Amino acid sequence: MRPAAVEVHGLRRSEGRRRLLDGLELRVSVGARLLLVSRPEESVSILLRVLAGLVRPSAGTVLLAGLSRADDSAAGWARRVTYLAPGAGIYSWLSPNEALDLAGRLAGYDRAERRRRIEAATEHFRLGSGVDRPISRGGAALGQKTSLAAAMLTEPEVLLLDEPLRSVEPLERARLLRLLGARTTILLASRLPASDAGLMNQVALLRDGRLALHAPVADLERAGLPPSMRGIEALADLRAAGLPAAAPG
Amino acid sequence: MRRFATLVGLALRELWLSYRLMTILAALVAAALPVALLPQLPALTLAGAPLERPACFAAGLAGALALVAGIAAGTLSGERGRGTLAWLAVRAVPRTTVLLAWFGAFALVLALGLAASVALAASSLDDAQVASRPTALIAVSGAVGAAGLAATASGLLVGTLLRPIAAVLVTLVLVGGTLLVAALGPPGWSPLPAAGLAVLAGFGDAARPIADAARASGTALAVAAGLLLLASARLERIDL
Repeated sequence: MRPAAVEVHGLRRSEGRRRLLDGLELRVSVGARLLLVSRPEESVSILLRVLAGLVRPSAGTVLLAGLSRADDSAAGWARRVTYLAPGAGIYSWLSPNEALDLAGRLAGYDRAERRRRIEAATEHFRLGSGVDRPISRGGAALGQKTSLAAAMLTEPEVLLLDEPLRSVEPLERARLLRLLGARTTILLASRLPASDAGLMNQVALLRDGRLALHAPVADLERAGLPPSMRGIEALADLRAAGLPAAAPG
Repeated sequence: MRRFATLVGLALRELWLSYRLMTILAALVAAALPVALLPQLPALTLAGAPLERPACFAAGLAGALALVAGIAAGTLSGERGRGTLAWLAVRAVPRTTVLLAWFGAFALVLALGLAASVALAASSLDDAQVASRPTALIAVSGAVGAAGLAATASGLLVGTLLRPIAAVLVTLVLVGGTLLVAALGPPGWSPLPAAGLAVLAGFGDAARPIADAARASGTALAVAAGLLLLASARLERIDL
């Protein structure tokens, strides 16, 4: 069995009366690209935000890249784990260059190292000629691309993506998501799994806060099911009915 | 420390680009304008007594400091809502560091605006009140600044509790009311963290302005520290 990049045990979290995470157990191996879907839809978003340390679970433990969220050192968490929210979350008056520089500063890189990484990210993510103009002038797509580039600046081991790059044109979006390093473990929460399944190699379904399915994406094709929410749920139902489950990754 | 300086710079730039920095400076300077520009104040009375120039200045500053606190509340609450606080938090920046950086940025702007305001007002106060007691005026100004820091910390605490508009309104009412009572209320009524304003209001007649200002400053700084601790504890617990 490959070592785990993400380990979640007994995770619980409710919003009002709704249980979004109900004793969730999940183990994601290093290098996996996991597509996360859920009923209700908010469960996967809240899971990623718990993993990112933005939301407190009411119970349970989390280990990412071998680290607990208590680690706030720039050399630890900041460089090894990162999270990308659906919105850019960056000050829109910053230019992409400034946003990347800020991310580099917060990660503790010196000036030369920051410059090297920013140049590489600018080219890699095709931030284009507008890297010195405010993000607000480039629209939501530029903000989201900049946010992804800033997240990848530290070459993290674990990348948590919540509905990423939805404002980016689909082909460019697919190209950008494929660019993410092969050694990076990716958890991608999606409400439109059909558009993301081709980029991932595993799929997990959360139902009522519990893990209902964790399987290779290829199992959908083997079962003759589409990579849609309905297909994923159908595969989970087949597995629950007793069909053999292939162990993911 | 380098991270903290980076965040203070970021906060100052955000304040500058959103015109909040200029609003704060303008409000603080405007507090001194009636005293500085009008050769004779309108015949205002408070509880039957004529309103002296220092008291008028103190009342203006109370309003300006309440505005600073309101802006601080709206700012921190807005940072939560827009996701910028989360963006920093996922880069392993402790939430308390972000809070303190905002406090530091507001403190810098407050110091600058208050210095300009006091300099403007001092030029118009009676020579007997100012020229003979410059140290006392500096001490009292420091006490007013400390009251401003406590007000800012109150705003930041409210900003961790409420949404932006509610945070601004609640802060304006609570902090503004407290500061106005300090500036214009009867002697002995002023809440101690805001007592710097009371000392300023009674500057002409104060027997021991430096001692009173020092006590007010100490209390205000202690209250500011306590409020920041509460805000930090709250910020560490909330969802981003």
